[in-house]
Amino acid sequence: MNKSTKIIIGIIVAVIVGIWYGLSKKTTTPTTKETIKIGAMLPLSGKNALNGQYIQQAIILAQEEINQNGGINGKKLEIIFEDDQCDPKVGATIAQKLINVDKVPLVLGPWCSSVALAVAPTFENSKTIMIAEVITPKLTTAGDYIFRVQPTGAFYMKTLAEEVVKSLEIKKAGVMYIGNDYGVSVKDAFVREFENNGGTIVDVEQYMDKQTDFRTELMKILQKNPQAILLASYAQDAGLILKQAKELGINVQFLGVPALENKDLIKIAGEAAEGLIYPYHFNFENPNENVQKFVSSYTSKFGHPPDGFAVLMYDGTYIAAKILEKCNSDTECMKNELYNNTFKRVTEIRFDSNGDPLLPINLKTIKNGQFVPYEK
Amino acid sequence: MISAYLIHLLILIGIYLILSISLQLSVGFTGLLNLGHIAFYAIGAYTSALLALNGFPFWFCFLSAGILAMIFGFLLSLPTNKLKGDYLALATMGFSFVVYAVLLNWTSLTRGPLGLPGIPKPKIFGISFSDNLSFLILVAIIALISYLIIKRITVSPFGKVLEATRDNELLTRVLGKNTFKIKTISLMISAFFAGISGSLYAHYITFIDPSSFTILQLIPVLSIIIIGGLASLKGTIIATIILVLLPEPLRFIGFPSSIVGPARQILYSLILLFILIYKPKGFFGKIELE
Repeated sequence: MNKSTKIIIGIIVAVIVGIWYGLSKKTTTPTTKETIKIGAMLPLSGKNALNGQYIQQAIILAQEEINQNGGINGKKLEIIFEDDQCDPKVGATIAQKLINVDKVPLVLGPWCSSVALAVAPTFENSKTIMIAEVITPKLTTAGDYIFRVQPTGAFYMKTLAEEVVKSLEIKKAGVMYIGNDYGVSVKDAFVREFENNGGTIVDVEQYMDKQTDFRTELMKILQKNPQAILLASYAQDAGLILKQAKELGINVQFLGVPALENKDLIKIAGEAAEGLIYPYHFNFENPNENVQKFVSSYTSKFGHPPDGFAVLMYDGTYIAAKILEKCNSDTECMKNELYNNTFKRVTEIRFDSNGDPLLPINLKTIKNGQFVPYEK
Repeated sequence: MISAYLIHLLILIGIYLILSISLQLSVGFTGLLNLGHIAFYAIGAYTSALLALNGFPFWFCFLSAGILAMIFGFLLSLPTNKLKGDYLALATMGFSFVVYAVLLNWTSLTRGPLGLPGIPKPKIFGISFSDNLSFLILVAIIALISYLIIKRITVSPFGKVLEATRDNELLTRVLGKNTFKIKTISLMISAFFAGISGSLYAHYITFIDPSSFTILQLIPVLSIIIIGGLASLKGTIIATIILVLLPEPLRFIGFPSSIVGPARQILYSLILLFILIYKPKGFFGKIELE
């Protein structure tokens, strides 16, 4: 046997022993009696790592609070974090590991739509609860055990359209939307809801990703005399649109989507962003005790304020704790609990029959460069 | 059931094995530094997925995936046949970007960034491969057949001409061999197997989107053939097993949860780095590319 063969055999043996050790350690540890394990799969490296990090911090904060207050039925909550890298293939491996090796009854995440769609059938078949945080409309019909804490774009539009017609008395609106599936689905939802509430859509203009000049589209919409224009956009393009609209002297009410609550919008649009109205699921200035405690302990622990994603998964972790407390690891029972209860912590979440969240959506606006609740 | 986890890993090994031995054929044996391999994989995955979603049977989707990838292999060889080394690498890399951009932007066909969910599990003549164990058997059979075919090619006289083309193209042409044709055939065979591997991937994961087929996804496959050793099929198999399994033991090391993602990746790359420091030609490498 020559040297290289020995080295190779050595490596293979080491890898196999490593897996063996890991597997046996996980299955025979006696501590399983005192802890309840759940999984969390998030993008913790790569280009989406920042979003993953905020959510992970929210989960860690919730976990610490739960354990300080006596855990779940006296057992400590243990969370196994896995990095899915936003890659469906890695996600599939993690799903198998969490289900079969760690035997978790419940998984928080994923955040990436592609991973969520790839792993949803695996979780559904093994009757493992998944509480995801993704926006893709496709997840709605993924199965009975599949839940999410992030509402779809269409859900926000329902509140927006209703409020705009009823309390702002806007009857004629135009829409500008980005030419991808996100833009299209939000636009369709808004048009449907707006017309259902008795409004009229006067014009719909599409623009392309990475476009930087929107004057043509703005002028076209303006000829139809709308009272308001909805921007189904991301923060960067919406910022440019608002800025150019102000330069053109356009004076109509602009409406937005939740994705616009982003510092980039104010950086790009400056004063032009003032007065934009958009729907959102959370208000950081809410005087509610839970909200203020969450925002201040998150900020002091991690050195930066939470974002909208962190808020929802913080609640997601509490929802998980609550159903674990009631059902131990009976996922059938957990599923029914999720469908039949309203969960109140920082936000107030109830799940519809598809596992999509119904939570109170309020209008917000921009005042002096800050995102604040809208008051008429 | 620990075995379900291992079955999943074995399926991934099978899919990667087909992908890496086919890349070994064009890079290791023919000396074509081909960075367009991931594009053939993507073409295979999308062809198979789109056909299956429109109700075609699995065997048809599977073969179409291979054949369409092979046709693209032929098309890619037309403009790149006279290129060598780094230039070929850049041109084929360009091909990868083009395919990626098409998948992302041809939204009426591929649904763009939203991807294709709900790809059915394979069914051949009434036998369903919907659970993972039967899927593993299917993948194992296909991987074995692919291995035997490529092994047969490399030991045949044609395989010797491939290696001669790699080592000294001018001399091979002086001996009366049409090296352009030989390189084209090698690229086409390589593309065919990448295509069927893509098809297996799509039907296994049941969801594909363009982000699974970026040039970054090629790096693990390139690492496999380099660590296994260029022009060595035995080395490729061993390296596939090691590289697919290696991240798994790392999952059981108890890192603090705040650094768990980056720490595992650092450790993974350090191990690969050490292998290459001690075995610069890989495990069974016979040659080094210029």
